[in-house]
Amino acid sequence: MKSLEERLRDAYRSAADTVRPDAIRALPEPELRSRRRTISAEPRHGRMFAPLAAAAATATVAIAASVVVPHLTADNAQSAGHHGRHHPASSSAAQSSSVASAAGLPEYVLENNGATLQVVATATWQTVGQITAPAGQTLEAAAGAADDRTFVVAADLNMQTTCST
Amino acid sequence: MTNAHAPDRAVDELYRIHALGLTRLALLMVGDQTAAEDGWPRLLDPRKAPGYLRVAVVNGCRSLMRSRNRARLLGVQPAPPVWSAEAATIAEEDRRALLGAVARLPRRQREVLALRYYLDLPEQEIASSLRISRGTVSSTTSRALAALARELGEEL
Repeated sequence: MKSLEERLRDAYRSAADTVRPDAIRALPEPELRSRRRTISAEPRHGRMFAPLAAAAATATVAIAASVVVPHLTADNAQSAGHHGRHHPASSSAAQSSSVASAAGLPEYVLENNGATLQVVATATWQTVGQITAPAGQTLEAAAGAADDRTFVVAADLNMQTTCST
Repeated sequence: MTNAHAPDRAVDELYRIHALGLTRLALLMVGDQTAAEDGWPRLLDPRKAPGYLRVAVVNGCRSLMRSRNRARLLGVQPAPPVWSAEAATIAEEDRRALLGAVARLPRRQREVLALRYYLDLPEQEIASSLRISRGTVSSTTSRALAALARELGEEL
């Protein structure tokens, strides 16, 4: 029987090989990279890690979910600067930003599955996470912030609407 | 004209050489490919060396795992990890079990194991990548292997 270390190497190789070379996304064209630099006002080193924040879009929703505002309706949320009410019956709600618009598509969109919202990466059309309403609540509305990485989700609870950012 | 796009070409070349390997490293740390691709830093300075990329990927994976742990508390479920039976991407059950056991190790132990047994880095480079001492790399590796053996009911 192989040693634990040898089996560990085998297991790592096996898992790593599930990432095929043709699955690696191409870098944006140099012109687009330049446009991104011009558009973004973030510090240079901060922008290097922007994709990390993008990947955790669902986490962003959840992290900020501690900000709960009772009695805030979805309409109020819209008038407070949010946009794009997300009806449960609609199939998807794309949240775009100026940077994403330059590339033609937002990096992430929300897709309504009825009981849950799926966060879908448009580069691969894979679901990278899902948002489930807290117990006893129904997801009522969703909107995206301008950074394309923060989603605002409103959930309805017993005649009240909580708003999570 | 000759130098106008030189930095971009250098970035392209770095990406071409290292993207696959580092994406695979990130996959081993976070468990799914989509997140691994997002763990790839947007390298804008072509003068930085591959060592920088490695550190950036490790740091990115840490951030992602922290975010996921917070998100789980609030009901956000990430995609199943590549070693899960649900993902069905690794056929051999013992490999899945082993990687599942690795996933339950503390963060530093997972990182040391991936850098050592996937990238085959020497201890000094692992120490540099994780900003820990060489002695810590050695002891962490030993503890990680011992923990794996215990969990799998084996002897080292």
